[in-house]
Amino acid sequence: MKRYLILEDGTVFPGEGFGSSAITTGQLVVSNNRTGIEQSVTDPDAEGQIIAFTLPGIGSSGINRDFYESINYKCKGIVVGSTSAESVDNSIPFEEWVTSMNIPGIKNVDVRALSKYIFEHGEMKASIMDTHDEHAIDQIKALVLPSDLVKQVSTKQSYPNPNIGLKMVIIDLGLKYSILRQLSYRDCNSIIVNYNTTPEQVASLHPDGVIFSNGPGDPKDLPKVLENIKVLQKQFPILGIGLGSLLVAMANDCQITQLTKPHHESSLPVKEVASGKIDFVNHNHSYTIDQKSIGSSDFIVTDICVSDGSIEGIRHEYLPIISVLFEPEAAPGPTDGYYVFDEFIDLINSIKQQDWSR
Amino acid sequence: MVVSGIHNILIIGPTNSDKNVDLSTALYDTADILHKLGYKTTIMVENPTALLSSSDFFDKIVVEKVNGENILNYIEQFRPDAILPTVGDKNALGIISGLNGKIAGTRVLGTDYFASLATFKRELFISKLNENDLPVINFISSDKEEELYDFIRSIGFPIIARRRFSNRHSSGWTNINNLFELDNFMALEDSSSAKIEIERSVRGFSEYSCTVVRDRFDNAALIGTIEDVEPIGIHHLDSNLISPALSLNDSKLQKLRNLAIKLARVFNIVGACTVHFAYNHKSNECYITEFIPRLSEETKFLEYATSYPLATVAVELNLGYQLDKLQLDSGNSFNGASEPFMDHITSRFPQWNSREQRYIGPSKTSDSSIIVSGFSIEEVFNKGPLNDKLNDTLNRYEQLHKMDDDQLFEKIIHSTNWMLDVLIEAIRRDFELPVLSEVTGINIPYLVALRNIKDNSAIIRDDEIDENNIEKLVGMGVKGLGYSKVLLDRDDIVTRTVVKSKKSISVNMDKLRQRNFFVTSGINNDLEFTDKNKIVVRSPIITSKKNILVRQFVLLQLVKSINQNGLEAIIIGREPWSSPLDVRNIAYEIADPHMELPHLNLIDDKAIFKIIDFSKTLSDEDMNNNEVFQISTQVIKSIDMKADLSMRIIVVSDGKSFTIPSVIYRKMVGDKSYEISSFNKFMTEREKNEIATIVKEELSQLNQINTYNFEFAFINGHWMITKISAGMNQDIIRHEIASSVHVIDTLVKLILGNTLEHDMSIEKIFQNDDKNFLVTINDQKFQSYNEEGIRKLLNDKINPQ
Repeated sequence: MKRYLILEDGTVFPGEGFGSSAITTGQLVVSNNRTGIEQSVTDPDAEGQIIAFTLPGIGSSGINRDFYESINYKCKGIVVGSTSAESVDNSIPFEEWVTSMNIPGIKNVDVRALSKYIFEHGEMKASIMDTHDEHAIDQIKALVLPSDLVKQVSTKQSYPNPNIGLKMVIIDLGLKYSILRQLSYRDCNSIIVNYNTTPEQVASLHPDGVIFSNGPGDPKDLPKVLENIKVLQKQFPILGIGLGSLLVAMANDCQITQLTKPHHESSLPVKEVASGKIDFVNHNHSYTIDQKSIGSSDFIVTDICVSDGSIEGIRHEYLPIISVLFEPEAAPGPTDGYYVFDEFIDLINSIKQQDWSR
Repeated sequence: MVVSGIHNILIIGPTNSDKNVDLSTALYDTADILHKLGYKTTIMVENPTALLSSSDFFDKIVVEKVNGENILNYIEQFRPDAILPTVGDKNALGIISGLNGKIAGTRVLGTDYFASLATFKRELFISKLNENDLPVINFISSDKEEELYDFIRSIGFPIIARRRFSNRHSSGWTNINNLFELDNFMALEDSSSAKIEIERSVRGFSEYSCTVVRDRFDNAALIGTIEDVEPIGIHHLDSNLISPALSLNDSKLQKLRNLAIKLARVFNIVGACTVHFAYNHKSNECYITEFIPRLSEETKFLEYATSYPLATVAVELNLGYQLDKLQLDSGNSFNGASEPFMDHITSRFPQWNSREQRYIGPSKTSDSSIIVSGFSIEEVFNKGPLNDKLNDTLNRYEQLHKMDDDQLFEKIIHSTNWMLDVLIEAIRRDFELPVLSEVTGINIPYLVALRNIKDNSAIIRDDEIDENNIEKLVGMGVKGLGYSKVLLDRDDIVTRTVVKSKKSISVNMDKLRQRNFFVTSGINNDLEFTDKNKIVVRSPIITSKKNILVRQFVLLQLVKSINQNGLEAIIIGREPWSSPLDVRNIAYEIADPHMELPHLNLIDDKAIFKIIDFSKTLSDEDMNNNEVFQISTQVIKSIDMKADLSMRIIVVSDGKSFTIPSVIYRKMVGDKSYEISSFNKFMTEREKNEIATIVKEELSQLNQINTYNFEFAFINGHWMITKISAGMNQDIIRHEIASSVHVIDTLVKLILGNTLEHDMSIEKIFQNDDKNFLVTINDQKFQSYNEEGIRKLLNDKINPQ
């Protein structure tokens, strides 16, 4: 069935519908991920998003439910170019899977033209619909996207991911399971808590370190979390990832800006400033830390994106805070960034050996 | 930043083999960047015409047999600071592995002795991989039955086995699936002195390759992945290749990426390295089968597929540059720290000269290849192997249609070069896809694509093509079929024929400039032209390795000349040209497998100054179009006469005057043939006058701007014409390189309206200021001589008194 991807400025991209036939609206994001459709679709970062995958032949490699990044969350819509009806490993066919997930999809779209358009005009709202008349466009324009995305994806109840090593409290802003997988590989005893958990409640869990996870939306919509960070960073080593990283920066008076060309690509190069070492890691963010504001803060830049020079990692000069905008847990993407978890654990261990009193 | 103390570099060039013509662009790019960065380079080659250039980039070209002895002699005599073995073929690495400890003062760039040796010595390769926990197919070579059986017990069946004889020859590999077959194999009385080699069989596994680059600071990036449509058991270069590898999910892709980078680290490879894998999707078994620590057909293909300038990057890494601080030009920085993203599929399809169906297996049999791009598997299949204009598929269909099911099944079991056609026929007869996948080892998504194509052709047969069934085809994911006329006029359909850039939209590739495009389907064009006047050059289809070289050379010279004369070149062909890096931004290149571009009206007719046709035949429409200028070879006269002494000349004519800037002289002496390029200087006045008179007479009837190839035989004391052809034939490279007059540039100038001098003297007509002369012995061995050397050769060997 013919369907249309309609952007809020009225631009129309025709295609063929698959998956759920419902009308859907969300923030349109163009993803240049090489692999990992199931990871991207189930990533809580994708809450409220329609994801346009530019990868060709989607579905050939199969769908593996073991790769899910969450159970309860998924993106609002999927836009693709070419697909394959069956996969190499005889797993559930891609389109059948999208239908089973009840996600509206549109295929055979000129995703090259779409990605070029978004690169030039910036990310915007979009809708997948059956018609493309003026009324439809007015509807999209009038729709206000929710600003409480983190509230929707953060766990309502705390839960443990038990192990025998260091105790981590993870502030769930839209946590990907792969962060837990990486912590488990390192024997970490993790407790995942709601994003509004107070510093007192966190402290009562006696963590060795606190992690502010990745998540969806604009960091400016989370003022309460900023206040919590200001308190917690004086008591515990902090690791910020993705949205968590932006919040850590903002809590320390850094400014946040929107990237001209957003980073939604499973393999972008990041350079460690101190050593010049280059790693390829998964990026999934539209915001970055303003270069100028870093100068007046107590942070030093540890990592930059080699492609556009934007800040990708910072470290506090006096406090044990590591923060990265990229996704060190990969999933999908190269595994070069795993070292961030090791560094954080090393940081905690080195502090434990010292008498860290403030 | 770079490795210090390197100023003079000896490049070990490729041997004189048709296999190596694919390296010509890489060699050109390597020499170009070394020249731009200020290095002094010498190249040792067997065939200097394979360099795609005269000596512009090289400070010295040594024409010798490329072997260890000659390389060692050169090093001892001239003491270069470094040698570069990674743009030669496998032979170059063989030479390096033999130089261990013999060249203390000269650094080996890119791939060292140990890594070179490991590409040849299987035992060394296996032990190094085992030592570093890299998965490798274990192997035994023994004449002791007990050891062999113990080994088989440790790895299980299936295995492959062969006998290695004391004269270093070996039998072919035999597939052994159980103890019974093993006992039969062992009982064969071939030779008691033979050693038996056994390894785990990976026949039927999927084959992948990953190409990585690594700098000396240990930064590494995955540049691209290639998937073989056919499984292990069919030679990689006889398989249909797809990039990116679509059937790898994230964990499999990251596993192969990490293994490839680890292997590059283990062998300390700085530069480019391609690692081949065998992967079983059912058991998730994965093995490294081979690594190629140099530029190769894979790197050429990936350079085209990804737009990443792999050859240029590799040599700069060899020199010690850091991955993110490279230069594409002197002073023009380039960030090579990129894992290129592909939003399209690029495929390489092998081609055979013969129309016959032939069996394929572990040994390479294809003669050339074509590369196509598209946005779906169906599209690249349609443009490449199933494109009737390239592969005579209608004839194949008719033949296959006559076979009964048993005959067809035999072709499915025993792979042939018609495999995709055979599978379409099988799908048409309702053979089940899982069965076909099991028997052929071809992964299901490719069979599904073939089924879509079959369904699509059913639609075409059943109905006239109209916008409704075009929509159905699009719905099946079948794109790029060549229905531009149907699709153009409709506003409300999903897709139409458009031209897209070969470069994906990505933060990573944002700053890379190039003008390579392909005709495909979509909603809008990526193509944007400048205001400059244009010359459209139609590029020919490649049918043999030799043609690749001629095409590369002529197109390169045309583009440079068109650019220097203030116009812009648009190269259009059924398949891409794979141009060198320095012309990718000055010429538009459009791959158009179904020749749809003329229907798209994208190029303003007023902006087209001329059309230079280098493809084989002109249409009736072209014949009547004065703007079309044909430069492919057209035979005008041919007489069957042979003589021991002959000459081949190129004539450049403006329709009134002409020059003969290059003469190739050929003489049989006993059973040896000698050919001397730029023979102008050694011709007598009488010979020049005689030739010029004949040429003048023949041209008076032709009266056109063009280049002409005249062949003469010396019979009964006179030069007689044996052949005349217009356009560019295979001699063009030797004429151009040998001649001090640039033939192609002169032709372009004439096409643009310039004329030659009138009433030229005989000296002026034959003017050639070359100081080096190329001699070819028995059409194989090249040698370079100065004037004195040629005179001595003529006196001593060719025309002894």
